[in-house]
Amino acid sequence: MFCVQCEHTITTPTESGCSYAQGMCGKTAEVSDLQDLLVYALQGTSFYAEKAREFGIVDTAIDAFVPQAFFATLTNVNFEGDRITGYARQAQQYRDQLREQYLAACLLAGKKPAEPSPAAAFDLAADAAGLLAQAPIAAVNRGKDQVDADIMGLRLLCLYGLKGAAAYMEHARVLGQQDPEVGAEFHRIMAWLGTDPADLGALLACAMEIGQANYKVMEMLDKGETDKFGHPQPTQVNVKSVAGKAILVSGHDLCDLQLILEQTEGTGINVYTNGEMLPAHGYPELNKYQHLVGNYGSAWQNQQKEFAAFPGAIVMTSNCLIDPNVGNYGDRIFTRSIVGWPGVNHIEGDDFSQVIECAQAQAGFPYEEIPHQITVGFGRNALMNAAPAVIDQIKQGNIKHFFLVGGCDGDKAERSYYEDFTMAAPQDSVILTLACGKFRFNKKSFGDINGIPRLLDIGQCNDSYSAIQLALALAKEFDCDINELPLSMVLSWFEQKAIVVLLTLLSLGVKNIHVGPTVPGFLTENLLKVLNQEFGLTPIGGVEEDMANMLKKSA
Amino acid sequence: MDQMQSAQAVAFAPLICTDRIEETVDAATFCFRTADASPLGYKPGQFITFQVDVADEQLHRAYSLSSTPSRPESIAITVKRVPGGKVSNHLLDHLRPGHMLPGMAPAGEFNLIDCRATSKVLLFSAGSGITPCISIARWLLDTDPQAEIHFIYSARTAADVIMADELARLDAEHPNFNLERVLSQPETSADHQGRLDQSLFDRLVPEVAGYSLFTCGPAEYMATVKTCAQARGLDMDYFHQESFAPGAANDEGVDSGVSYQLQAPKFGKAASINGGQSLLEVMEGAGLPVIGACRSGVCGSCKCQVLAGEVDSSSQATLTDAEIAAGYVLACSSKARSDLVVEL
Repeated sequence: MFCVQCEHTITTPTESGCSYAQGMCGKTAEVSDLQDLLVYALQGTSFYAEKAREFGIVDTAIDAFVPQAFFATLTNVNFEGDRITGYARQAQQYRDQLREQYLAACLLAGKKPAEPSPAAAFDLAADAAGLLAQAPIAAVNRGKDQVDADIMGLRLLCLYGLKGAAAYMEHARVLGQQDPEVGAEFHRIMAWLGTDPADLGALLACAMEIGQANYKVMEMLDKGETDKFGHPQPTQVNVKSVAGKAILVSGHDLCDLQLILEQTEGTGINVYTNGEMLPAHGYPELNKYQHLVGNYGSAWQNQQKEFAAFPGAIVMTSNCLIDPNVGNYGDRIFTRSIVGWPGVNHIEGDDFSQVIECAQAQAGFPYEEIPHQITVGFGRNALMNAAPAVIDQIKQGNIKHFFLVGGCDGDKAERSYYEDFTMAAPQDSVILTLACGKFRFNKKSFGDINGIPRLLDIGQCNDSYSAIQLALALAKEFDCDINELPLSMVLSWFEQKAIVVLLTLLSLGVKNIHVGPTVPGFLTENLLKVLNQEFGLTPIGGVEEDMANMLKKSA
Repeated sequence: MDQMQSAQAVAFAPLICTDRIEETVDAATFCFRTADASPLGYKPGQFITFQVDVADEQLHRAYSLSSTPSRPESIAITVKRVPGGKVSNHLLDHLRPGHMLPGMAPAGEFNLIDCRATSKVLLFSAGSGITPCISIARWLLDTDPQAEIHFIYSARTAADVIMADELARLDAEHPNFNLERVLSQPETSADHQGRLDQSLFDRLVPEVAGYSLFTCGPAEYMATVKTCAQARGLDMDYFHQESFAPGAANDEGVDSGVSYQLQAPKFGKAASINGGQSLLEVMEGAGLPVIGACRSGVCGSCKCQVLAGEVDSSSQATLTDAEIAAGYVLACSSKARSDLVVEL
C-alpha cells in the first residue's frame, strides 16, 4: 500500500506516507490497494465519460456514480474490501458502456476514436488475488521513479483535491443538485489525472481548476441544503444529554437525518447530532422536530470514547468513521451510502427501522444533565442579514478584525494551536468558524460585540461558501480586494475535503492563508515555496507571532 | 456529555436534583436523591463534591450538606451566588429538578461524629456557611433529646438570611433550639445588630462550660469566632471550624515574582508557575485533569505527586505518611519553590 492523503499519515524525516500492513486510519494494505484500483478504474470511466460528451452522450447515473465511488476512498469512509471491489467493477461496467456508445458514435460520425489512456485501457483482474497483483499499476504514486517529487506531489494534490470535490458533489447530488457542466469538468480532470501528467505548470493550473469547480459544487450544495431545509438561522443547541432512548447521527448527510427524524417522531426516541451534523440544528426544516434534542460529543477522533459512552444507536451517514470495535459499539453503529466497516450493519434504502429497534434495545440516557446551549446557524443568509450591523460596527471601530478559523480536527497535540489562537484573538475581533475543527473551542464563551456574537458558527466545511460570500460582501462594501479586508484565515486540515476547500480559496485569489497543524505529506519543500510565493500560503507557527502578523492589517 | 466521566479515578455517582428552593435573591437550596433512591451515608457537617461542566471546563466544587443523615431519603446543599463564581453561579442559573449531577461520596473532617463534641453545641455561621451548622442542628434535634443548640447566624439583612423560615420553624418547635440572628442592618429588635465581636459573643453565649463550638463562614468571621471563644474560656479541644475558603494556602513570605517551570511529562504539558500561584490553579490552567474540589486543603481530591522539585505546602490533610514520603502533596495548598515535575 501507499497512501498519503490524510494528515494522520506516517511521517519520517525521509518520507511520508502509509506503506506498511495498515494505514494510520485503520485501513488495511489490501483495502488501500483496492481503493487505488477503484480510483484508477474511475479514471478510465471518466475518460470515456469525457469522450462521449463530444457526441452529446451524458449519462447522469454515471455522472453520479463516479464521484460517489471516488468519495468511498476518502479518509475514514469505507474500509470494506468487497464493497470497494464492487464499486471498481461497476466503474468498469460503466466504462464499457460508455466506450461502446463512444465508439458507435465515432463510427457513425466517421471519426477516429481517441486512443484510451492507460487507465481507460486497464481491465480489472477477475479474482481477488489477481486484483492485488495489479495494485502497483494503479498505485497513486505510480511512476514515482520516472518523475521528480514535485510532479508527484502535484499529482497527489490534484487527485486528493478532486476527491474532496467528489465528496461534495455526492452531498449535493443527494440533495437533488447535479450540474452537467460540473460533471463534465470533473470527468475531464479525473480522466486527465489518469494519464499521469508530468507538466508542473499544467498540474498547478489543474489544481486551480479543481478549486474553481469546487466553488460551483459548494454553491450547488448550499442551494440544495437551503432549498430543502430552509436557510440556517441562529439557533441554540443543547450539548448535554436528556433522559431517554437515543439515536446519534453523524456525518454530513442532512437527508438521512431528516429521514431518521421523521421515522422516530412519536417513538420517544431522542435524536442527537454528532460532529459535522451539528449545523443541522440551524435548518428550520430539521430544527422543527422537537425530538432533535441536541448535539453529542465532539470531533471524529474522539468517537471511540464518545460513541462507546453513547447509550443508543449510532448512524454514520458519511465520513468520518474509525474502528468501532475499539470502543465495542460495532453492533449498534450503522453505516450509510458509501460508508463501510467490515461487520458493521449497513442500511440501504430509506428504512431506518433497524436503527430504531437498536435504539429501543439500548438503555438510553438515564438522566438529564444541566443544559449547555451553544449557538449555530450563521449560514449565508444569516451572515448577509447581519452584514449591515457588522459593517456598522466596523465603521464605528468596534470590530477591527475577522478570523476564519476552521477545518478538520484530529488528535495531534499541535492542534491545541487552534484553541489557543481563538482564545488569544483580541476582544474587538470576530471569529468565524466551520467544520469539525470548531469543537476545539465552540463550547467556550466568547461574548459579543454590541450584540454581534464574537464566535459565529457558519456550519459544515462546505459552508466555507457562506464565509466567502460574507467576505465578498464586505469587500464590496469597503470597495477593496478580499485580501485587503481585515480578515485572516487559519485553516486546519486532515483529509481531502479540506484540501479542496483550500484549493477553492486559492483559486479565488485568497492569499496569506495559514494552514496546519502540519503541511500535507505529499507537498515537497519546492511546492511549499511555490505556494508561499504565489499565494502567501504559510504553515502555522506560534500563536503569538501569527496573531501579531495577522493583526497588522486590522481595520 | 460522558455522564460518568471523571478526570481522575475518583468514584462519582449520579445524583438527581429533586427540588429547588429559593432561599434568598441570591441563594437556593437544591435537594438530591441517588439514582436508585438508596440512602446516602454521611455525617452531619460533611460536604459533597460535585463535578460540574461549565462551558467547556469540567470543574469540581465541594458543598456542605444542609440536610441531616437522620432523614436519608434526600440530601441538600445550599448555594449562594458569588461574584465571579463559576460553579455556584452556574448551578443557580441552570440547575433544575430532574437534572443529574455526578457527586463524590460525602467527606470532610468537620462533622459532629468525628470531632470532639458534646450534646450542648454552639453553632456559629455566616452567609452560606449555615449549611453544615444546620445539618448538625437537624441531626441533633432528630437524634439527641438531651441536645442544647445555640444557633448564631450572621447575615447582612433579614432578606439575606438563608433558610429563614426553616430556622424560625426550628426555633418555634424545639425548646432546645435557640436561634440568634446577627444582622448588619436588622429591621426588628428581635435580631442583633452589628458584626460579631467579643461583647456580642459574650451576650449571645451565656456559658461555654460543657459546650462544643462549630463554625463555618468567611475566614475572617471564623477567626473572630475563634478569638472570642478562646477569650470566653471555651475548651478549644471542642472548637471546630470548616475551612472552605479559596486561597486558604498561606501566602506569607512568598515571593510571587519568581517564576518556575511546572512539567507534567505523562500528559505532555508544561506551564510556568510563579511563587504566589498554587499548583492547582496552574495545573488547571494547563489543562491537566486535576480535581480541585474544596480548594482549601481539606478534601484531598487534588492530590498529586511531585517527582522533582520543591514545594511549600500549607496542608497535608488526608495524605498518609507513606504518601507524603513519596512526594504527594495537595495541589491547592502547595506553591512552587523550584522547577517542578509532577504526576497525577
